Amino acid sequence: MTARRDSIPAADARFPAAFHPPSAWSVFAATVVKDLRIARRYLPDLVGRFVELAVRALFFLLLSRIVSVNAASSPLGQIMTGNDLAIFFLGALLLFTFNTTALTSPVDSVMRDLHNGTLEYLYSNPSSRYAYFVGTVAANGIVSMTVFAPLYLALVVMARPGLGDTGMMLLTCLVVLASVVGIGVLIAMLGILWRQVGSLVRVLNILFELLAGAYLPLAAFPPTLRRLAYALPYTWGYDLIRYYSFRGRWSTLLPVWIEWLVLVAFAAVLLGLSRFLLVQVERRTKRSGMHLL
Amino acid sequence: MKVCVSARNVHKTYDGCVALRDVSLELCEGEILALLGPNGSGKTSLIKILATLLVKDGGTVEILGYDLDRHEADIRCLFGYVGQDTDRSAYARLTVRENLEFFGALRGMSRRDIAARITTLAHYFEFEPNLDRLFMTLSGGQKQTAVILRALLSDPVLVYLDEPTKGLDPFVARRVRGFLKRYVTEQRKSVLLTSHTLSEVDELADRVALINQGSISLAGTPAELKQSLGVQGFIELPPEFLTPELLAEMAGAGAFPLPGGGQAWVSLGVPGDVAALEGALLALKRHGVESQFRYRPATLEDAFLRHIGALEDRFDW
Repeated sequence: MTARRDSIPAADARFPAAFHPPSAWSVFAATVVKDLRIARRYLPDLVGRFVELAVRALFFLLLSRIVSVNAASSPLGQIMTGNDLAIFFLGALLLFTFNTTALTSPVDSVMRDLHNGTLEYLYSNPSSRYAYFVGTVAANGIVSMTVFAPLYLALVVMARPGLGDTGMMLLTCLVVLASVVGIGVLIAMLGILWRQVGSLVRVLNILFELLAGAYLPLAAFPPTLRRLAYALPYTWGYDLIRYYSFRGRWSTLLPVWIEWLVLVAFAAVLLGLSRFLLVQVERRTKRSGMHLL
Repeated sequence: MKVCVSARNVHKTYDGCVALRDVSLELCEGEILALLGPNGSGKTSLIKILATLLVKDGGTVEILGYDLDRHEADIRCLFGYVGQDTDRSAYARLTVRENLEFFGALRGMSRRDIAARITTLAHYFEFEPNLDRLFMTLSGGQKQTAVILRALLSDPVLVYLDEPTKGLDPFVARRVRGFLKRYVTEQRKSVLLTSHTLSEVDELADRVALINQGSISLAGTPAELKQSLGVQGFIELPPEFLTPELLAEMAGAGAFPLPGGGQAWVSLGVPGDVAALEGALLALKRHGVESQFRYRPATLEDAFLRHIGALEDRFDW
């Protein structure tokens, strides 16, 4: 039953929840639903992402038929060619699927919120900002699953890892994703402070794709570049994915358990740092009004 | 009366430029307080500080007993806010309903409560036909209404409205005003608003605070502000009829011209006593312009121009 038009809506008795901050989970869930609804209305963008990954996959599959990695640079201890090289490239593409998700979705979200003016609303309500930003990543991650799933399937079919290795590949992707979420939120914060950070995202994309050893084994890099690569979480992610997809034939840079430790440490530090800086950036922007249009 | 918002000596600067200078004000339960001031006077900065969107440099603010510096998160549960740029304040590619569902969730409301509240508010504001339209397809006034609905969604005890009826057609503006008036009188909510539509403030506000160059210069009820003019009303006539002789006679009767030249009508303030009004009318008749003038009572706009103008030395009152 609705109220008469000339009587104003009733008082707050039915809305006690409005006087308590929402849980981080409900903010996360609401953000995921919101972003999926928006993504549905940008269908050409989704199709574009799918096509981009498909073209990349096709290119590297073709490349794997005509090039080879010499034994000195190959962590397999032998010339890497054909099917092995295809598995090597697919492992990189698999991880790279989430790169856009984690790295660019928080900053895209900030840019969109600055454009729409909704950041002002976010900053004046009691909800968890972190849950909001992670929610944007999760929504983008769900969208990316449409690309990730066929790639993952293709890798499993080609590499035929055991059930445990298949699961560990997935786990590696998730831990790398957590690290990159941290970096993504940090860049989003820079987006609030500086507004235009597209070039920074592109630089990080290049670093993660080229310097971390996505398409070339690290053994082929000069020592200086190799040392730089060690500072990127993707390096360890690529290495572990390849270790599991080659069913242990791949020589990792460090013992596997240490690589896991490094990867988890990256995730923990970057997530913690981004969470801490989220509060600092909000405080700083509210001092100067930088979040306002 | 219970004080809901108490701000004392609030100070705010941006890069050395003073936006607010020791501003103090109180907003009581069941009251509409209007902040009036010229552009850039600090109204929006003050509202944004109260809405936790800006951090003040000094002073103290208590909202329903919560200290703004220590209980920011609690305070954010208490108010609804409508900013100035409502054209860009929701997700363009979501419908109004989807926007409200998301914003309601950010305020901790359950889906059922959000749905019920959307239905009720949309019904009151006759907004049902627009609920399932994308925000980007709404007109400016419809967007403004949608944002007002968002501010009222959680039924907040406090509402901050920065120029709430800007861009609204007269019917919707009247409905918003009616809502706000009853919201405070029937439900004892409190509203702090800014507006450049002074007739609206006159109709709505229980108290008015004039703010200029970051300081509150005068506060009182609209009637008190009008009384502070020292005139009851204005006799207005086209400038070509206001000869120096007539002006002298009018001055003798106690009427004096309102500053500001180049206007289509010249205003002469008339004190409240009957003798002054009678003297002025007789002077007009003697000069044969008794059918050329018009009379209007003093308004809040006159008080605004008087006080802000005097403060800025714009007028020699």
